[in-house]
Amino acid sequence: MTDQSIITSILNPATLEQGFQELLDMYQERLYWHIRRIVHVHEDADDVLQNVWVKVYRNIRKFDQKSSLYTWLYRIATNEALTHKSKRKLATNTLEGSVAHLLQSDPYFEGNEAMIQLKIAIDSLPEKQMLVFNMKYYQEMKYSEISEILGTSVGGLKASYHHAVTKIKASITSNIL
Amino acid sequence: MKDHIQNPEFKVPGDYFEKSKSNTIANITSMAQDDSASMIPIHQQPPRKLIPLMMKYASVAACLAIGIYFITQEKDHPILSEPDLSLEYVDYLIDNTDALTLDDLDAFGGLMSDDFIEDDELIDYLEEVDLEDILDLI
Repeated sequence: MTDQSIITSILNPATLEQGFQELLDMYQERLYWHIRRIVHVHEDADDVLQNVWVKVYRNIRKFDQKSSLYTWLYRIATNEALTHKSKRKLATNTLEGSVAHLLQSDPYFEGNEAMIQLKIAIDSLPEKQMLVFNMKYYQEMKYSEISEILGTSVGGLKASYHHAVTKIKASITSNIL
Repeated sequence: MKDHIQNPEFKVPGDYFEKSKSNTIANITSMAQDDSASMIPIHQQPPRKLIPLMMKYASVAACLAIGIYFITQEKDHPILSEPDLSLEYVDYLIDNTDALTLDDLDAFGGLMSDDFIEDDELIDYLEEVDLEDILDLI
């Protein structure tokens, strides 16, 4: 099913359910993992993902199709996840909001101490570097795709990824030594 | 781009994605129904919603008509000078649409006031009578 046919189905009340089913089949898991890498905790990722679908439903009429559907969805998911993260930071104290605490209290996290250190290192990166690292390292997205989603030049993204990798290496090395 | 890349350290409940899909579809369908319900044209809305709306318009129109009347002429209407704003009076208005005076309309305006439209018995009654008859009054 093409992006266009999914959008057409969603815009028609008679085929809305079918259209959304197709949309979820294609993008639900991708977006979930993208969000989860930003907010870390399953429960938070689930909340954010539900908000994303509501926003998609509310705004799909305004989607001008200048970009692909998945780029548009990633943009919404990224913004929602970052907004959620900043609200969580404001609402919790330093310890409760720390990545280590969040991961250790999440029943759906099964990583070891080294994995927690990696997450802490990624989370401490500047926002754009964190996003580029997640999208490049974990999802192996092309720079051109990331560029469309984040609205940053390919050159800028390459520099951000390089800085991110360097900082993560330094962070993990200093924790080991 | 890889499709569904999972970090092995991140788990989800066993049937999470299927349940989440069902919940999302149910949520979106419900929102769509709410949206379409709020866009029903007035003439297709259920009587309970339609009648109070029409009564508000009728009240405004009746007040205007009375105002115009008092500006142009004055008459005595002893029979209806203190009308009983009851279900019987509604009957009277409907049965005598041809002979109604502006005092009748005044009383009808009172009938259309908020106090009366909150009266469930009256609303039920108005739903049973022909609305055309009532609207012909103004």
